[in-house]
Amino acid sequence: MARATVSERTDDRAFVLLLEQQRAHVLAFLRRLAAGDAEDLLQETYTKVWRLRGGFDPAGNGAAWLLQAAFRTFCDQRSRRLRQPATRDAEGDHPAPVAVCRLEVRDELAHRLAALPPLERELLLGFHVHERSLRELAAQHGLPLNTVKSHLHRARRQLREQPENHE
Amino acid sequence: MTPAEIDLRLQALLDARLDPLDDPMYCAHLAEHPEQLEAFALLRERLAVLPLLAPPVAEPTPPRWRWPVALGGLAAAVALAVVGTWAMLATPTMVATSHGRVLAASLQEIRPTLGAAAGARARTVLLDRADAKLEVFTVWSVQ
Repeated sequence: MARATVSERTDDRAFVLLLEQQRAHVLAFLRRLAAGDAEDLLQETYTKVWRLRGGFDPAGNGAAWLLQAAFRTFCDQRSRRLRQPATRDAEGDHPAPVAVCRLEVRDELAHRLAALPPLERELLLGFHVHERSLRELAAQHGLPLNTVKSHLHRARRQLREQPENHE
Repeated sequence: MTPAEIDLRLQALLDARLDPLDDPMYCAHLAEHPEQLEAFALLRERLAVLPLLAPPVAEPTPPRWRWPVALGGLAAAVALAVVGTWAMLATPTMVATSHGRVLAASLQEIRPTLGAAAGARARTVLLDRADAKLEVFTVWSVQ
């Protein structure tokens, strides 16, 4: 029993170390998904994983395991909010979503946009910002629809790449 | 699903302007493949920030309200009124009437009074004889 107690304490210490080391990483991930709720989601995630630490494999990828847990926490919160009746402001209107944007995110994205080929950049902005349809973009640029899609998809893949100075 | 298939699914969802997180299959795939979570979160965040970077669609700028422009507008209106009156009175049928004839007209900018942005005074001479003179003065000011 004493040996198991010591082993459990050692595992707990290792687990706490993992949580501390990955805290910034998980928080950054949650900020990308739900900027204003990231801290709350992190607390909720860590509370859950602490309760489930017995199922954690120390030889496994702790960082990936934590990201999975954070993602599931985010999805659960999102589902709960979608099930709740929409709130209205004092005038009876649905409040507009607030765009939260950190300066470094804007700067990094501006740099990434500038590096895109002009056509891909135009299609990306035309579709996602000016809300033109794929057919309108195809007509505007004199391109087949599938060509427009290929360029747009390629541009989106560029947006999935990690920032140059990411941790 | 293969990486290519899941990418196609993601692209199709975005092309349809759907939130990939509303697609149970895509969500389940992400939950089982944590190595793709960060890339997806990056894409989602950047697409949300994109409108903040794009230049807004140019809207026609309203004309700036300057008193010389206002004065010019007033002058044009007065000139039109004067010319219109002159033309009307100059027709043969009108000469015989007793409405009179515009003999002269002038437009004078007046010093803007306090609180007014621009001002003008129009002078219209309707009658100018040795024994009588009739002038009409109209004053405009813009606040």
